[in-house]
Amino acid sequence: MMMAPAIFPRSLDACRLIVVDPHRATSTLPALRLVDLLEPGDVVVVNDAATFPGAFHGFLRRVSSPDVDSDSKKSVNLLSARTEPIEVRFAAHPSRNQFRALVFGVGDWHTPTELRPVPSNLRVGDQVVFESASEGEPTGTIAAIDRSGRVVDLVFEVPEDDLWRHLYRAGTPIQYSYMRDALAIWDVQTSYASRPWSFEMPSAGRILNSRALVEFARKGVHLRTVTHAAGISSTGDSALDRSLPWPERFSIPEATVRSIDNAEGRVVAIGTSVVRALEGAYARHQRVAAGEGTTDIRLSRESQLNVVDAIVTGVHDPATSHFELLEAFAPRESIKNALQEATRQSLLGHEFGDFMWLSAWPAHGPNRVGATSLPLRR
Amino acid sequence: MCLESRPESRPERVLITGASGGLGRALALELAARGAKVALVARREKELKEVVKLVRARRGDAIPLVYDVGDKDAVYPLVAIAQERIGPIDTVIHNASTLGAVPLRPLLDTDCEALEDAVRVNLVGPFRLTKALVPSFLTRGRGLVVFVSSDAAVQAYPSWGPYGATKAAADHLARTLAEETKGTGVRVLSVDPGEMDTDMHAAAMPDADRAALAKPETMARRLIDRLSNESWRSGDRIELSAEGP
Repeated sequence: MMMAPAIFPRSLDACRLIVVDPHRATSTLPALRLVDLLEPGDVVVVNDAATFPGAFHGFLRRVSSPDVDSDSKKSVNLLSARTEPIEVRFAAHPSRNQFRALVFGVGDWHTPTELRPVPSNLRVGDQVVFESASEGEPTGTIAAIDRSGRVVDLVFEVPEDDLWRHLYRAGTPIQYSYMRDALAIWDVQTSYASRPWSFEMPSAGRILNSRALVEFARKGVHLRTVTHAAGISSTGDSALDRSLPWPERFSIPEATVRSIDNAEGRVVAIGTSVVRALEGAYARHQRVAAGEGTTDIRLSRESQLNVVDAIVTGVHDPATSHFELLEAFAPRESIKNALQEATRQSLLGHEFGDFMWLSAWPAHGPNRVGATSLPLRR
Repeated sequence: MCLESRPESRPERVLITGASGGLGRALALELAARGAKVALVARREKELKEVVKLVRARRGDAIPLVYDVGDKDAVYPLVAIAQERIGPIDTVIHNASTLGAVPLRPLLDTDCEALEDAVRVNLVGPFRLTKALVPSFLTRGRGLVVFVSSDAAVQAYPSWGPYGATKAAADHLARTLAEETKGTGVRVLSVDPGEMDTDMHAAAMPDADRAALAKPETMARRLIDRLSNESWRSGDRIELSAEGP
């Protein structure tokens, strides 16, 4: 059973939410009615990371050519001109002017990632010269290459006042071959997007338009944030894919910690990235602490949820890491039954698809007074 | 409803458009002097970076965003970069504006492209920027949107048609937005700072006696004082006077 992907950005009006809860039969409602499932006192946590357009096309400028004698490095730059097309996809931002990226050769997102060629024999010092809409080509220098040869650290010697502007001009949203058209930057932002920490859209957040945010405030639902650097979902290499997700930076504000500590209702995570940030933070100190951190937590049916009572997420196929995370909430059979119902109702998967509300089953959820097995009101 | 000065309503991280000169520049300097971090938007890179340099020389926090607020492609980049570099924005001041075409001329002699340009910069640009910022204000339960207005939005001044019409439209957008965000902690305001000695004023009225006009520095101080000290409600339209508070 594979969910059909949504292949273009869809209006929220057209989207549905399938509700999976231990105390009631599975049902669907319009995604715009999420607020009907919430009670005053519930704490809804979103990932407010903006999606950075991290796919760049350009050319590889090899500085370590064996044909040139090392005393005349200067002439190498002129020799290896625009002969090797390259695409880099940013996956992480380890320090101020350094980005970790996947490298691909000729081609673009139309080609399935696993079929893309990869430049060979990359060397520290090689440069990636981006195509850009205007003058001034940002140049990234390779400072490190991983063992697979497919992941590099790129350093940009550009003043910080100019760096982000250049990168935004050169970059396009990372996307994959099931999409029909090229995505624009506004297609991949949640309404409340803030700091550009994410390289793929934390897409569960699509369910919250401004009307929903205002309705929550007026209903007494506490809206809180984390910023979580959701990384890329596919590398094109099955061994590398098995190592995903890579460690991800997160930041949790004081206000969010206070609301969780004093929660009178349920803690509802909008998206798997929020679950990873909150449960990852809990795993470090046995409580959710404010501040920044990094997590590589991999939740599965072996995991105990300590913070989150329910998740709103996309409709994910089994055998994905997203599905694995959902098994921390509920028995596999319950989720699979819900997916069957979703398929029957022609719900769509992937980032522009439909949504699922999944409550934590009694044995799975946090031992929070009053909230663990709160039924959803009709 | 009387709002006392609340600590959390003081602007801490402010996005200002049209910040390379005039009122925008004055607001940037004054807010930075009062401890706010400022993200400054303008098209003119050299002049904008001079303002940033001046703020930093005075030990303030400022970053340049070289963008045209009327450009659709500019909005998401500039909002993301601002928040990356100075943190979550809590106040946006829509100050950038265009007269449409100079010299000013009657509406009936105005090219429709000049009107469209005024609409693009004075109305649609601030609208897009507001859309990109206010939802994140909602996630934090606080935020202030200030539309810089003009007497031309209220009085019918011959030759000020495109500017006046678009400023009036922006004022009404502000009022509507205030209604839509009631009870959320987000507040919206229009402010008419009055006539000031700026390049825009000189372009509109080249024969004016500049010495008789209020200085943008004075009006910037008045505006910021008014934001923090006065009791006003979301949806209000405030007129600053050159004489007093």
